[in-house]
Amino acid sequence: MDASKANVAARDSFDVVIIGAGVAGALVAHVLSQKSVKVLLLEAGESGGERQDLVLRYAAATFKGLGTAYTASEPNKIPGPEQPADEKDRKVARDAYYDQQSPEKYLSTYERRVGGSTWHWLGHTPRNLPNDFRLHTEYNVGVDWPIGYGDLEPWYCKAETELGVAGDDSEWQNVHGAFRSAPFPMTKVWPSWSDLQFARALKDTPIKGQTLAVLSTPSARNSQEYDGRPPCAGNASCVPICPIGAKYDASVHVKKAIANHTQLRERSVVTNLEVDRDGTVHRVRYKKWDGAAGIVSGRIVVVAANAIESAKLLLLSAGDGAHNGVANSSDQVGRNLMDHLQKAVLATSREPTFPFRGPPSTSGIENFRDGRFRERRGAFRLSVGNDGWSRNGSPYNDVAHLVQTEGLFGEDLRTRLFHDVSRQVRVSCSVEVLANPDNRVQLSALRDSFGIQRPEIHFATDDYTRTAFGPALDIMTAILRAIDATPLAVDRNPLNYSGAGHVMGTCRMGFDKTKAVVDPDCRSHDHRNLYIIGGSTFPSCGTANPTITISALALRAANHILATLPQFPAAPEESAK
Amino acid sequence: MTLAASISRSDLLRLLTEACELEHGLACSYLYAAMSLRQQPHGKKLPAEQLLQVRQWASQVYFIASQEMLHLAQAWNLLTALGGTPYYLRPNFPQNTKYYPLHMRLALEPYGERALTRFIGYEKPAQLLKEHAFVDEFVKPRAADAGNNFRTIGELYDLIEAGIQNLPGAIIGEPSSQVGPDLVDFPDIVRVVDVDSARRAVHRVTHQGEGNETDRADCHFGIFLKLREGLEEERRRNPQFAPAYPCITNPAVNTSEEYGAPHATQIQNSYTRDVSSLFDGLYSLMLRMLGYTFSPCGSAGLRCAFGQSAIVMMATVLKPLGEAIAALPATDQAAASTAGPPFGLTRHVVLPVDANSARILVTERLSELTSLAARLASVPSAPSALARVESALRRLAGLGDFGSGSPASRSMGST
Repeated sequence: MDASKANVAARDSFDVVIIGAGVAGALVAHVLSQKSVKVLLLEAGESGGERQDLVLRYAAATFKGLGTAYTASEPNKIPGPEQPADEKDRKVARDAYYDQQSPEKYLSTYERRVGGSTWHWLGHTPRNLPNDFRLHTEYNVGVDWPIGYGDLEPWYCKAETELGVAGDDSEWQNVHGAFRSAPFPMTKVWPSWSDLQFARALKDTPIKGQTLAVLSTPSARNSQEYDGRPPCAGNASCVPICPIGAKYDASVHVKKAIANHTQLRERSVVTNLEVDRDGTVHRVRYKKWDGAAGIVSGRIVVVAANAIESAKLLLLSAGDGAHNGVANSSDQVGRNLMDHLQKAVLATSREPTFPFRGPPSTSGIENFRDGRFRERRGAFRLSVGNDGWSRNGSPYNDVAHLVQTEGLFGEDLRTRLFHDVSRQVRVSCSVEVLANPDNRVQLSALRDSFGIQRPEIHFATDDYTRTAFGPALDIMTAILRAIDATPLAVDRNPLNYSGAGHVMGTCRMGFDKTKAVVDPDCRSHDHRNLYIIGGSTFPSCGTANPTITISALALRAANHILATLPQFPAAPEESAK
Repeated sequence: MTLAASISRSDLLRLLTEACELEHGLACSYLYAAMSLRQQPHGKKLPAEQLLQVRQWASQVYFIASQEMLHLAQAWNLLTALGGTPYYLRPNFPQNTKYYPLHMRLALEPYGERALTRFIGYEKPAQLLKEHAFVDEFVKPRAADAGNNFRTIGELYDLIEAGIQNLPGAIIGEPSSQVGPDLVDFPDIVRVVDVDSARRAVHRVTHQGEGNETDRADCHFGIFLKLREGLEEERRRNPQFAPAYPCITNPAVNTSEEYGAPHATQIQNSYTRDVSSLFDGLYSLMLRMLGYTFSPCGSAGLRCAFGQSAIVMMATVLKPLGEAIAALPATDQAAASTAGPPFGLTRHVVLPVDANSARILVTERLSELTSLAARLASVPSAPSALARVESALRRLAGLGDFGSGSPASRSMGST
């Protein structure tokens, strides 16, 4: 260890320092702490508030956004892109954090708090497909992963057990070649009534010459009591918060890790990773919300702070031994930012489909996730909604409309609201995006409420993604007609999409250290005791919701950390203190 | 205890009917407790934090009840696989402690410490883990009784499993008559086509009920323990905390000889009695429709239509109606107890195998009950749930094709 650098007190020296208490960091902390490794979890946000208090905060709020339940305890602190700077306009919240000058905007956000964005994720856990790992080999676009589906499959199984995934083995065995070596730990969440209507209609009505299968979407949502958490009770508010903890969030594993003596320091925004002369990274500097500075050291350091924050931190840490940023000799840190881009088609069904009874989506259509078409356009996954037109603000907007425009009150209002909302249906698509080095996170000259440089983001779609929207919209419209629903006007402008909240890329994984940031074990090519774990390492994004792949990679990396930890003994001057 | 090797097919069928009665009775007990919980704010009587807590309790008890219904359905599949027919009868509530070898009353009572203690007793495994030894303090261990075959539900199923394994050629039912998720919306139901699937079916039931030797937390037994602890904690914080309506125990529309439960509590308020009678009628009809679905001889199309309609009826009719009855007065006295859904079974015929007759019977009965719901919903003081129930019943008539073409279905349009 570099003697020229400041010493760290013994109480601040750990075997492993993990930056970020989201799902990746929490799982790594859990695995390591089970083996008596001394772990510190540093988290920029808060753990603040019992679940019940968060639910009530959301219920009482006039503006209901993703971050409403999680507003910071100090109003002048905006730790991330979802903390409402102004209750009236969520865009203000995002733009108060991101610095985006390009015409297209990166629309996905994330929650910086203990447990991360899993607090408000939908809980869907489809795996990547085998061809998602070999996109370039199969379709001559994008890049291949340095690992294949078979390498990750056992870790998918472990991740499903850890998170508690409910799914249907018979439906999901070998979907697009994705074999399963172990059953889901729970049987599937019961399909919603509207799912059954979709399945029934599509069974006998081919769409564009194909018979589409409506499959139950595997979800980290309890279909039975599991891991001490209750089964889903159909509160329909998974996004932004499950009121009963039936849906997994990473606070589960944070708590388990703490029970095994992991130390958690929240409200601790990491500002710098110091690189020693030998190229290792041990010291981590952070700033508390009250302005106090902190420094800790770890034999191994893990950056698990989501694709935007991880990249930002690595770039912020440029200095001696890492002039272009830590782990960035390849100049790939921050590049290849991805998301799944979404479009939804809303419709009114002739018969009620009774949305909002159960999770917002329990089924999907997987037919279009792989095929030769990927040589020229993106794949997409279709999600069958059970949340009416909530993407248009329903049911709150419906109430406002009926009261303000149609002057309805009392029983008339209730009757009409029931009539209208019970017929709202949705199908949406999540379209694949190719890695593009120009889609990137850099450091903005603007600073956040902690005085730290904000992320400057450049993002634009390409033809590969844009040309996928057309077929997706045609198919979604046909599906809705098959269930006797009348679609609303379909917006075909390829630039009008929404983000999926799937923040990926920026620290890609690969064999070649000139083209990738981390190796197949999520270890930095440049710094042998630095791991970068999370969606940031994805070389390509496929069409699967990323959390189960992030979790599988995290468990796999944690195993590697356990194996390599003995290579990095504690520095004598620190262990002696 | 009966030796498994000496269990005949007839013994097995009898044990399974006992299992059916028990599963059915437990489902009703749990549903009654869940329906008794206050799930609306009631002005300032139930602050938001407590309301959230109560709703969570209700959802957990409803979930367990739904698994008991699955167990009943699973027992029906086992019955038909062994050559029997679905059995949905059971004695009305309350039953005395000696009626089943469990030595515990089966009763309808509102959510509270007493009910939860009873529930823990129903689901208690024969072998407690060390950390659950304290349970013996409030649910006394049942002594081995040479006169009975089992002391716990788990032991009853052990007996059934052993009997099936030891009976040569045990599975004689037609595989095609087995009910799977395609016929009825129970995604977890196991079709019993051989001894192996019979064992899987039995294990699913016992695992959900009492867990296994390494995990007794994520099962009915563990959940009820946690619910009891949660209630005690809330009571410590606020001794006045009343999560449930003051429902009477074991309500009945009437307690005549036909009802067979002389210790039931008759509902005095005439309107509540009428609504409760509607509930019993619908409950009985729902069971008969499910019985037809699981019957090995019925028409395939009608089995599917009845099965799916019965499940929809549970969720959209019986649940809101039961919750409404729990808030209705049991007597004509002010500030007195409330009632609760009686789950009363009175004499009735099993639906005939002949599809046309079965269709007409169901359609006519549904029409009568829809008319009754409409009349009760039109009373000015009727709870709003009645209108929703009436509307759901009308939708139900159009849901399956069991009403199409019959004279009765045509008349339903005007009700």
